[in-house]
Amino acid sequence: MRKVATVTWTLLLHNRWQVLLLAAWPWLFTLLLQAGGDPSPEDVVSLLHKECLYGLALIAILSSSAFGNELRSRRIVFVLSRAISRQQYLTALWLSALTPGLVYVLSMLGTGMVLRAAAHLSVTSLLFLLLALLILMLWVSALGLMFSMLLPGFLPWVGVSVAAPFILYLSGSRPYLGSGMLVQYILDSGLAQESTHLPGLASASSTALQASGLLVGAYFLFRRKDIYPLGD
Amino acid sequence: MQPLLEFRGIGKSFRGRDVLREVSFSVDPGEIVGFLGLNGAGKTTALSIAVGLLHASSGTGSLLGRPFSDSSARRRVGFVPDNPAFFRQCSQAAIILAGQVQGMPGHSIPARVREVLAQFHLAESVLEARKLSRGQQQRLALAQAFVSNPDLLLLDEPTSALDPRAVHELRELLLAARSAGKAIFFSSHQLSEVERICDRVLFLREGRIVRQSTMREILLRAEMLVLTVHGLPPGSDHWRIWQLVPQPSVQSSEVVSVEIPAGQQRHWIEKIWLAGGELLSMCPKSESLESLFLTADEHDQASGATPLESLRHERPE
Repeated sequence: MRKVATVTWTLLLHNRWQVLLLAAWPWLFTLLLQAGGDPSPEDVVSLLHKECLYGLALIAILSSSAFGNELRSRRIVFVLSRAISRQQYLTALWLSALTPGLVYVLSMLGTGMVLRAAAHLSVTSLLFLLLALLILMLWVSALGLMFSMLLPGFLPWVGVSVAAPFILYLSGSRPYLGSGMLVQYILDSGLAQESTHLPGLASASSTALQASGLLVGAYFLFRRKDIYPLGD
Repeated sequence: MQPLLEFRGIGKSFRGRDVLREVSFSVDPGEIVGFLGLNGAGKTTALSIAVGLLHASSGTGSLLGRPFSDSSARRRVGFVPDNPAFFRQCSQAAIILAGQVQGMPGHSIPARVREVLAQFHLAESVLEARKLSRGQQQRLALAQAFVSNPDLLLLDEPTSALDPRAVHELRELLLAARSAGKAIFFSSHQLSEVERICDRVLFLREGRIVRQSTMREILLRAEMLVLTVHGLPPGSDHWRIWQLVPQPSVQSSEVVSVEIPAGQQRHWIEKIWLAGGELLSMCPKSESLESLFLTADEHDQASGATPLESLRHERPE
């Protein structure tokens, strides 16, 4: 576990500008919204909904490009030729793509609290919305990583951007797929009233389960993958 | 004694092209083994298989007695790739990271890092690792490999980009490591370096090991003898009549060196004595590794030997 944390931290430090950008993103949007005077409650809710979708897209980009970036830069050779198993490395790679998402969610929580008074937001509803977003980030980052094991270059991002909406569309009518229901929950969330229920416990657990399945799949692909170093 | 690195008939194919074919060798504790071959011969591929970056298509092998895919075996291995890459961090942090991922105990890392920073002249380096010169990066990669005090060092072109002082210091470090019972397996195009420090060399051609022998056997192939003769000047008629090939080389006005085939020394010594010459010395002809490297292909092709036959022929008992 210590090695996973070390590699994750190193990857995060290496990509610190991405993390800072994701942390700043919700605050920039909030500033833009407030620049035009006191925002209406509808504007605030719409902004939070959009931020959720942007956050998912950004995590999809980070997770689908993480492996390719390490491969192209050959830093992967340094790590994998040490006493690190492929499972540990993949976990670190996934965490390094997911952590900026967590930072983004925390940043959204901060902006939500700032906008709370103006839009009469319910804190519980906001927390449930962000919980749903976090679970979807788990799912989309695992999907991104899975595609990066299957496809080279920028194609993993193409794969995720085709597959994720398709799965979300399918799961809208199939509750057991979960993820689509969570997106629906986010988009339907009014945020003004006190929410008394979790964002569909079944949808949340089903999405988290899918994320685990995708990670296991990515690991099995990675275990058999050749890492081509340059040279010779 | 269990070898620290062992390849048993390992093959590797990329998209139907065989990059390694039936490669078999082992590296024992306390020896330095050189791995020679032209570009594209498969050296980096073999090293990459050893550290688990690539999977062998056929054959088996072991690293410190464990399968190549077992990451715990790499705790006692130091690897330097031929083109090292670094994270966005300074030299010190890069070496600490190497120690941490090798599983070194946290309390022992700072002292050891200071030691290798000094050893590789990186203590003054404050620049980000990625912004160092190529030579400094190579030293940093070596420092990362040495930090955990490994039992086996796998080095891919370790002297590339190093200045002469750094090459000399690396040589001393490798020799000290060998004396401490560690094993070193390295690929290089710096044949003079290989000649100086290796106990054994492997020649790889098109993915096959075509020759495997100790340095002593390779360099002192007793096929020719060199006689140093006094009293028969270079211009003497005797040399012209005897028609030696190659012609004697002049050491001084009175001393010449001549090469004769092994087994004919009695015949030639008698001739020289009868002509009034005096034999100063007789030694087996020492070949340079470079000439052997360049002729390895021709030798192998001319003899018609399969790689395995060459291996059986060359491998020391």
